[in-house]
Amino acid sequence: MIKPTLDRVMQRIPVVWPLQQFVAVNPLEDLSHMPFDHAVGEMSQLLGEKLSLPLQKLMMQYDQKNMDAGDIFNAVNDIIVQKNDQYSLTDIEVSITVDLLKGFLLNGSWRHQVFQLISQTSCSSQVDDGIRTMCLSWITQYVSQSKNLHDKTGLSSSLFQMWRSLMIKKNKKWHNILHDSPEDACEFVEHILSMCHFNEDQLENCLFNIVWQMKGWAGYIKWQKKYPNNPWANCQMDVIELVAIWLGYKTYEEHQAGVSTDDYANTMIYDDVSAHLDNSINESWLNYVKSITRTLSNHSAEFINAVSQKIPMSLHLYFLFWQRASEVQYEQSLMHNLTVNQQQDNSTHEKSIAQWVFCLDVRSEGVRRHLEKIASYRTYGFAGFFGFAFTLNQNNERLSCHCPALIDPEKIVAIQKSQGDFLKTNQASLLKTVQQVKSSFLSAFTLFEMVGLFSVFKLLYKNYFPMSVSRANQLDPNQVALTGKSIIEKMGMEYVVAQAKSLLMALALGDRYDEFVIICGHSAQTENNPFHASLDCGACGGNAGSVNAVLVCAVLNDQNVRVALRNEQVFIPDSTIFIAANHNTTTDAIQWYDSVLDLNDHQQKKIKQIKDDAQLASNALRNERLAKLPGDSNVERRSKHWAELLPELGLVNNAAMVIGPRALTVNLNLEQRVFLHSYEASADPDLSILQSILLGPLMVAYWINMQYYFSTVAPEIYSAGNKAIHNVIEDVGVLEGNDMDLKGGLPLQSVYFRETPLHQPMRLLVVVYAKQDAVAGIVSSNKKLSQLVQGGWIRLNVIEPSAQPTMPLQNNTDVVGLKDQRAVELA
Amino acid sequence: MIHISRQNNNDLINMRKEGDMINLCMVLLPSLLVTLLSTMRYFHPDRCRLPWLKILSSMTLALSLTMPIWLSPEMTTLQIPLFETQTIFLPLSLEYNTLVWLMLCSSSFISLMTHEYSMRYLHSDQNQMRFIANLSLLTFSIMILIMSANLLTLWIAWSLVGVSLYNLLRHYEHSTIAQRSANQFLQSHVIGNACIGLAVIFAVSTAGTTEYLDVFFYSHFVTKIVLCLIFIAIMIQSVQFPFHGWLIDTMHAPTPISAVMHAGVVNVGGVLLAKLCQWYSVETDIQAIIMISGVLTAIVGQTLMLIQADVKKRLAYSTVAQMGYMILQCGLGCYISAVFHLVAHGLYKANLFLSAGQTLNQHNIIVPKSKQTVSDFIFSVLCTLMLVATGFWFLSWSHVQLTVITWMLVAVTVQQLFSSGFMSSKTKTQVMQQWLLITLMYFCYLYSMSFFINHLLDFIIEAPGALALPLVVLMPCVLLILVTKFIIESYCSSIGGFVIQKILLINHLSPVKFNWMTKLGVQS
Repeated sequence: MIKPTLDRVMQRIPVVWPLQQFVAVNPLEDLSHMPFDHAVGEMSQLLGEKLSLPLQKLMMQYDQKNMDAGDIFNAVNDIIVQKNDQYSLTDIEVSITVDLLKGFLLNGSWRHQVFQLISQTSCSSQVDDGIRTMCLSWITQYVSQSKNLHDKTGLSSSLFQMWRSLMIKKNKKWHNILHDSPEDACEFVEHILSMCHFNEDQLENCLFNIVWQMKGWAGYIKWQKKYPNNPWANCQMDVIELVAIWLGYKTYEEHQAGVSTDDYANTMIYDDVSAHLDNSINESWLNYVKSITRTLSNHSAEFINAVSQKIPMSLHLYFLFWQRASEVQYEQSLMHNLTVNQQQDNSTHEKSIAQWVFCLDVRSEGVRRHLEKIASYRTYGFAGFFGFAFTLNQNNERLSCHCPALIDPEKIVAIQKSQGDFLKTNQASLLKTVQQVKSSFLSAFTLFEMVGLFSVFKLLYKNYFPMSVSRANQLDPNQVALTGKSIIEKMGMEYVVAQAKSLLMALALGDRYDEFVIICGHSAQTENNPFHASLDCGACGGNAGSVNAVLVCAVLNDQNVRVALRNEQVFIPDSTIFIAANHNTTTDAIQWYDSVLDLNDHQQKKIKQIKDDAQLASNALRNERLAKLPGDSNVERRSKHWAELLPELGLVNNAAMVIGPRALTVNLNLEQRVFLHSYEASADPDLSILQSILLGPLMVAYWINMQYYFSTVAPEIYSAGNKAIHNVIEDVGVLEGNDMDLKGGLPLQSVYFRETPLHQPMRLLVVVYAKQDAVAGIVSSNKKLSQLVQGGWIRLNVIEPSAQPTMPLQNNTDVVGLKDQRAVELA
Repeated sequence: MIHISRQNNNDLINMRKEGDMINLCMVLLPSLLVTLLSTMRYFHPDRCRLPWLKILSSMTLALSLTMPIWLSPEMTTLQIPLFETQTIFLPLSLEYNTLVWLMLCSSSFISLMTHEYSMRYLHSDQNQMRFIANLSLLTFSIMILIMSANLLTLWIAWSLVGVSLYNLLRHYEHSTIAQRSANQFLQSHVIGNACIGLAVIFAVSTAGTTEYLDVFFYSHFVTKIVLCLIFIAIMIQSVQFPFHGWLIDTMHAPTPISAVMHAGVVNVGGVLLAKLCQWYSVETDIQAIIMISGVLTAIVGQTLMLIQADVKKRLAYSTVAQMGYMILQCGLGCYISAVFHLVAHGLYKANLFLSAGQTLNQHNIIVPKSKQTVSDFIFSVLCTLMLVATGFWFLSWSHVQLTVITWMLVAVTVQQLFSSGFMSSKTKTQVMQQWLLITLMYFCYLYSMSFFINHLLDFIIEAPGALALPLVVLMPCVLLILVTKFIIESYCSSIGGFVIQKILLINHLSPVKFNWMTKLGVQS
């Protein structure tokens, strides 16, 4: 009886991934079956006064002149037209409504009134800090012990059982409460809650109230249940156990204070503020209309009032207007640029010097733009794992999954330390010894005296000479290349060829292979940063993309693979060489992994030229990026200094995704805000490639976008909090300061500088360069995708390849015309 | 260099007024300037350039390091008269000797490192300059505390430390958690402060002055009371069990603060003990209390450390344990090794705290640990006993306690390696390597110790009363610790172990109900 309710409650709890595999997720992922505004509204209503936060941020943009009245007008117009099925307004009524709404949204005093209404609404539920702290400390203890538990004794008592068996012995009162209660957590919860006589809604309220207090750990448990095969999922807990322990303490407190059952039940639920709030917002909307009818002479007051009553104003509608308004401007300018660009013939038929394949990450856009400026290079975008999903096992010491979180990798690539490296082997083992000595009971005392004084040098060089720090444990991707042959054997020829084929087909290189094809992954370089993975390649599961790049090149350069590919009708010229590279997104340097290749002098010379060009491109990009980056302007130092909290901006300001050929976006400065995925409609007759892009890379981009969105918009709820007080639990996650709840999301420093947001929160705008009905077909055939598009989680626009320019586009008012003529918005 | 004894007491008093005031105060000047300048910058961001702050904060270290060069060797104390009547003599007084020099160097080094660190770390914080100002004020007050030569100066410095640390702990003033932990610190600190205040009042009302020499030669009773009061303050400042709560809950302040606290603030207690060692070591009963407090704290801290899940709490409990160990060393009369321990531990801990974000970059595979067996335990006990026995053989040599301690340390370390290294199936090279490492470390350790001994020989006070005690207590201590270790490590996960942990955790687990402060009725 309680399980289904709890499952519903758990939908609203954001999943928390462990930090090693920092995966950007939409915190409201499980609510994505609802429309975006409804989901946000639902969360806001549940959280009482915090619901004003996102709205406040949006209104701030208007006050800071980042959006103007025109944007509001367009946004309102869009939404009303779109939702007109519900309202059934005539054309005249629509235009009146839009004007009225615009006034309502922009009029200072009415805006203030609504804002007051929202911010005065507060949840009546009170967070019980004492109980919360106790529960959290039990969970933390259990997690830290569970590793020992299974390894050492094989004992596997659950959190609740352990808690119960200990508390029952604590004192008489606890004994009285617990001795005749059920031993199973679920039954225990039912037993206690049955005394409260809740109805279904109240029960859900109550459970949400409890779980939300421990939302970090609950989210972590949710992740473990979702991915039970993950190498880091190690402790067995259930959310019901958290609830049971919480209720146990609550009951104890009740016994202590002698509270009656009714009062006790009342403290655990809270009023549903949503209906009340919606009513009062609607009231103020009607009042506004009444106050303004006198000034409008064209129509009678009754008519206008009747129209206004057709629009039931609610919190989420109000929110949606503002959200849409903040996006309109960017959408218009991007669509305009793309369509203009499309009309020009950008395709170059001459052979380029080399082809570059990048990750679709927004940060690759900058490199691509600068490279193309320097010389005739052709660049492509693809998901950064390049289709090869595997778990990397380094020296049996570390595991990392090099693929998007959507995929569960079956293949394992093991690399061993090169035998000759005596120093490195010993260094690692020495460090291990020191760790062992440090963490054991007594020897720690001596260790501190023995090695303490040497810390002087460590402190000095880490503070003053960070550039000279060498990271002993860093993986050298060349190791992967060295074991290239065995990798193909291990992963299986069939798998390798299939993946290589799908990669090359998606890129649509056809017969246009250049002499060099450079596969360029990307990775970040940071020091002392628990959130390192959030800056690495998201498509590689928060790992360095260089490993995948090296592996792909090793595969594609292999003669046997090429023969096999030829049988599959993929012809790679013998003269073509695949070279692996890595874009260091922190310093913008491009690293090369070509030492394993056998090259003649002529080729060497050409590669030298390419490397020089890449150097120029990365210098140009670095200068461009530094203009927006607060703090130290020496990126090299930034990447290696242990006190740096913002090594790079990461995917900040991501706003759109373009799925189409580079010709569509070439020569445009997209300001590192756009995910670029190559797609050639002509090479995809059965639409399978487009489908896989829309279901794979698009999902990754959407998750990243939503992660940044919510971390910026509601940092107190959905961001990981202040990095300066983060406290790491190894293999699990971070706590913020003294608070023992786990934190999910992005750290505050990644999205805010002082009080100003670095990220402009926008929903992902997806532009697909393909036939409209093809896209519509794919979207409607996939439930998840159509939910996202219809619910407004992403905005999907289509540009038809064949369409000819018919009319010049004006800047902002003609957005409806633009849609009719050239692009169709499906949302 | 230091001539403190009964004979030249009178000379010292004569010298008091001749001290070169400006010289000794010079070392305090830069940190005070940084405080002023960064406060100015906090209110007017364009006024003062960052490089100036950096240069000034490094000046503190430079001046401290070069003190023996520019300070005239006769200069040992400085007095600024505040209040003087026929019966009462109340000056502010600062002193300088090798111990002071050493501690000044170490604390100004830590301060410089954290300054440099926070300049970058808190760049995205709009209150960064307020933070720097308080950090410098803290440095300033710790330096005065180290140099203080009478109870009154000690009291003033102690209060200053409290104020600046309180400000630092509530750096995020909008967070209730930060506010709460700052208040908890304040509660503890006020008690310590009150103890010293009482000592000052008591000394003035009886001896008419707060100069250590005068007070401690006044009467044995006064000496005892004053030393006891100071030790209570030390217990709170050096996080002795059960006063360790405030340090654990300071995680809501930026990381550099933790570094300063664990490397500077908690060390203050040890410094004070070392400064007053000649009086403490005579009082064998106080000495015994000190030792027991140390042993208890070391065991509790280390036990709790092993079961913490998060990095910072583990480091914090480790500090508690190390402070216990340091106090134990003081209780055994090994003030030199205590000071050495302070410095080494402070540096090491500062480094660990500042790089606390590092751990997660290692994607470790969970390797099951081998089970510990009873034979393991017996074997390690035997090894330890054997080595401690060898230590006794060295007793005939000089620096008795020092030798015992050293040997105990080596024995324990070796035992550790035996139980974890030999028993599990490790390759020969790895075991050899571990031995090599330990031997190397040991030589480094001995070398640095001898360096200290040469310079601080003056401090060794051979106290026969304090000598017998450690020998009797030491062996049970070792055994006790080993037994605890065995229980914890073998039954850590079973229900029995959990009970033990919970008993130990009570103080930590339910801060509201078991907060001894509340029992004492102290309100913020």
